[in-house]
Amino acid sequence: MMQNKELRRVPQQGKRGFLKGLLGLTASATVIPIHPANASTQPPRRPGMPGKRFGMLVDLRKCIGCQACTVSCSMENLPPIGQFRTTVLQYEVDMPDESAPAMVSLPRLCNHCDNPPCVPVCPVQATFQREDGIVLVDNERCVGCGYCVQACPYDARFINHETQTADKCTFCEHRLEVGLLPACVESCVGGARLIGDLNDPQSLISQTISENQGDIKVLKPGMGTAPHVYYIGMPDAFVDGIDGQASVRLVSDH
Amino acid sequence: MQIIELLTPSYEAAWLPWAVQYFFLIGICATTAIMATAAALAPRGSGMNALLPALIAVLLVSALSAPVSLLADLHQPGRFWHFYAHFTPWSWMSIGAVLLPVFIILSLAFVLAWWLQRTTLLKVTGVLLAMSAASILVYTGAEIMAVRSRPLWSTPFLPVNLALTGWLASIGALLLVARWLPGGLKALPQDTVRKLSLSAVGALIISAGLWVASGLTGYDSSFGAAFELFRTYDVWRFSMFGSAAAGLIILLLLFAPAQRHTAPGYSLLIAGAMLATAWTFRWILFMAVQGVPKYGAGLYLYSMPLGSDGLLGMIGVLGLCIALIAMVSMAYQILRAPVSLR
Repeated sequence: MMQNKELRRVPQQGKRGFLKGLLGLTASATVIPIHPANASTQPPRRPGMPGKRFGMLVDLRKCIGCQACTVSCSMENLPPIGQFRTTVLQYEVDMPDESAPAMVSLPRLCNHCDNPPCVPVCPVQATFQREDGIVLVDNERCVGCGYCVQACPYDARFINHETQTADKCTFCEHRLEVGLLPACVESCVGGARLIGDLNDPQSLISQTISENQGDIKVLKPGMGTAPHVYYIGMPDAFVDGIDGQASVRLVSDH
Repeated sequence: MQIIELLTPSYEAAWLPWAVQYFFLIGICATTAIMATAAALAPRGSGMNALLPALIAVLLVSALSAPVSLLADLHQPGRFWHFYAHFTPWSWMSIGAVLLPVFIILSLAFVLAWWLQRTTLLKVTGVLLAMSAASILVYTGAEIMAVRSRPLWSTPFLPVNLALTGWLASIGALLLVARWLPGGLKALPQDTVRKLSLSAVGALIISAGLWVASGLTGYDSSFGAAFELFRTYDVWRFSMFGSAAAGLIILLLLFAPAQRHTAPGYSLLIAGAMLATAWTFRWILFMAVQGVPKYGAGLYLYSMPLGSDGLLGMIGVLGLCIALIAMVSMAYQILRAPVSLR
């Protein structure tokens, strides 16, 4: 309630302050364990980059919603027009007290979960997880049944209109393997996206996560998927899904 | 605090209307197989046994058309052999890829045994067929129920309701197809058909009641998710009232005197209501539920394409069924199918 009064007193505060306020409103913010590996229902993982566990940290306080990540991912990975491996969802948040509405930009991508629901449902083992945590699709084996698209609680997957197979973010593993950053991380103008090895306590991502332990959240923690894309500065109202007003949606051509 | 979506992508339905057709036809096929086994095992001259020729016709038509829809629902149908090259015992869909051909082969063997009047073979195949049909009902239900990301699917009531509406549709299909078979509708034992219909509707009402009760007592979360949709969206409210009205209409139609049930117009009305209810249930279950966002607000729009992944595909399946019904009824009349078992 104190926080509410403060918000009312300072109606023109910036977005960062607003997000902080929202976080403060719900002090019981979910604390996310970083390595909950409940992978008993998962098929064996395939070899990846030895010893590593990749994860991403998105600092919403630094995201300005410019969609540079969306564009650079599309240039790098060439999904069909209108289909995205990553994109930034944008929201307006209105407070009851007529203060200026805030904008929330929420970058979304595959969460490369530790317990990915998309992997065990695949009837031909075309989608699999590597030991470094990256979830991939072998699109030469995929039959395009769409089962993994249904199973993903995050809408991170889609049926690629050109290949007619399942498609998703790969953490740009082809770039990681040669020591480059994923296209979205490379192009982020605000430095909001961090990728790194969560197994290495000295990595920037591990250190940033431990410095911000109380502020770290993941999407839909209740699903038990153990997502490995972490967010800093995410209001609680965005954790489990949006209860609000839908945007104007264009009917897809497909 | 109010959240307004400004920019979100459009998420498409990954399962096409082909899935609706497949689950409609396989539901009819599996429940018809169980009734056909009961008919084959029933004493000669009993009402159940007299249903056998019509049940065989429905079984044959649905067993041939269902796998076509399933294959077409794959975005890469030419790769169907990957199911067998990379068998995945922990995926229900992979298990289904093994169970389905077994079921189809048993269905055809059962039809053949009936045609050749091999009574013992028919009964043995029938028992195997009924077990196989049960496995189909389990796999088709479990496959959808396993999707935890969609609360409306992730409920034990889903396999039950798929099976019961499949049963309702198969009685409707029976009433529809019988008119083109030798002896016509008059050959159908009215009381048996009515008893079966009332049992199916009664079981559906009980199942719906249990679903609501389980939701109210907090045992199952799918009712809560559905209730939220009924509360929020006109289109969902319409579908809820529509389902209740359809159930009531079928029930009222069934309470008419038994002899009316096999009158051409009246039986067509009942058959149409039963088939339409089961089909619409699947349309809502697949296409409407895929329009419920997993994360976002509101509902996603689905506009049915006119081509093979939409309207044309569905009309094509209907055409296939009509062609198969015509062929089967002609075969019955020209080749003189057995009227009942020896």
